[in-house]
Amino acid sequence: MNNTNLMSAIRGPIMLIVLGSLLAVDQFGPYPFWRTWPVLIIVYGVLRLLEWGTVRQTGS
Amino acid sequence: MRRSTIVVPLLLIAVGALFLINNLRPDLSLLRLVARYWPFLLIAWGVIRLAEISISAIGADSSTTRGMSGGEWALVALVIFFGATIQGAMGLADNWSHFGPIRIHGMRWLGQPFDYPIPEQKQDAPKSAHIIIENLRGNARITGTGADSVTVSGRKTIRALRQSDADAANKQSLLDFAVQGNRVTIRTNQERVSGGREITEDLEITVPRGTSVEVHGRYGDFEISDIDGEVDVDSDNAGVRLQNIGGRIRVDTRRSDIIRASNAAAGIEIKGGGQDVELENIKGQVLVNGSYSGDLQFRNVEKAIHFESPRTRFEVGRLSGQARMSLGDFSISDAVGPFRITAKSKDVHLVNVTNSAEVDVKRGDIDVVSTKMPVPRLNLRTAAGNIDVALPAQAKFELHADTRRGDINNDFGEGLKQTSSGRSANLAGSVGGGPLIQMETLRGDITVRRAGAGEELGRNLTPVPPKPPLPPKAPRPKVSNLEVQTQ
Repeated sequence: MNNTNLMSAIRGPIMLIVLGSLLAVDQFGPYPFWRTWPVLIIVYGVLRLLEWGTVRQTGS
Repeated sequence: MRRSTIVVPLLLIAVGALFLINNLRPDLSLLRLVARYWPFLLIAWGVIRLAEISISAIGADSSTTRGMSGGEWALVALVIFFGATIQGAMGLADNWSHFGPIRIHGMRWLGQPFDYPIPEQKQDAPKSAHIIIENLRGNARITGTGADSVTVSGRKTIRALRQSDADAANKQSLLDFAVQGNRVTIRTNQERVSGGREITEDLEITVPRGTSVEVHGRYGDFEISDIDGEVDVDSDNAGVRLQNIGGRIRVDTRRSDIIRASNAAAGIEIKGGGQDVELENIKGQVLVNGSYSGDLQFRNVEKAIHFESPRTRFEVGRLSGQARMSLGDFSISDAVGPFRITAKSKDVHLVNVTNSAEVDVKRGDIDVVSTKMPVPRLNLRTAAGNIDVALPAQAKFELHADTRRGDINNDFGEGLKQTSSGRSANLAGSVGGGPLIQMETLRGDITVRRAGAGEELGRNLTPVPPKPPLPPKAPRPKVSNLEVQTQ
């Protein structure tokens, strides 16, 4: 199985889970969504970073 | 060949079932459940897709491992749109409570509301009693009167499936009203009822004027007026309106749509969080510490104001005019310094601030209008933004202005010497000698000019810029059963 392919494939679902969680926190938790949305960017960045890491691994 | 996701058929079945149940059993109010818990649909969706992808990755044919398609994202957007719409509609239609951690209490939304009147009860109480009111959910209006007694009346609403359940819950949660010496307690005892039946109580309470009042709640508004003693409000989510309070005021809310106090003879301390804050005619010191996302307005405060939020700090010695703060804007007029503000990203407008003013912003324009003599000592710094200072024509001051990248415009030609090198410019000198005015911007223009006649007028009420667009979020339900008056 190609790891890079897998990493980019799971990105969507993970982003979806994070988005759902932030909206749930908006509904029930202390933080409104307009305060927490940067988490989405951070998670996306982390996922891209992991993907980049696996590309280097398979490349070397 | 690529197999499509299982989520789409599941979603179709779920939507069909939802509408069918809603049509057959409208009393279950399933839409209300959807309005509340729809974000978990997105989480479940993500989990299912993650599982699908992992399974196909482990399986033999790795070429089927693909991410989410554009069409699927469009469907996600559609779900968010409908979820937020239903949530908004339901939020307006119903004033359910929402607080605390996640509570999966589907039962809470079942059933229908039953109303019970709370007949008026009256007990004598000392004039300087301490009154403790605990009402977890619901509004309370507390008014001071000349009488020597405390009266309580109101209305209780219990949401339950059957009348008998509601009756039982009503009996379990009878109002406690006790006077012990100097202490009066009024408890609604809603926590005694289990089984997820929701109780809200709206209370009308009158107390002797000289009492001090302490209220605790989780969700609901408090309106307190004409009390000479101290007032203490503590709630997870409350609109708080206070008027004619003689003693010290303390308000602690985790959330709130508005905190308003007018005519307070002593100090006021506000902490926690919320949206709007409005304070007017306060004779004592004002302390605000917390995060408030709406508009903040201070008017006529006779002692110092200290404000501190995660992003902004400001303090001022006294305020005969007003100060107004929104997300990206701060304006203050007719204040006695020392005034100081530190903020990350705000445009700052000062009109007739005396003594001294110190402004330090990371991003934002600063403008100062001073039409009175003597001019205040100014220290204005912004990392990115223009600085505009208007002083009376006969002003006497010393000046030192610096911009790393920008121009300097000077109306007070004679004594000020301008030098520029490359992109930076510098203006320094003395006009008759006087308080020091220091200005520094890394990127932006600096203007020193003569204030026009009447320039301070009309600028006192700098319009607050429109709020940034809100996320897909429903308007918070407002509790307004008491027909709280707004001015």
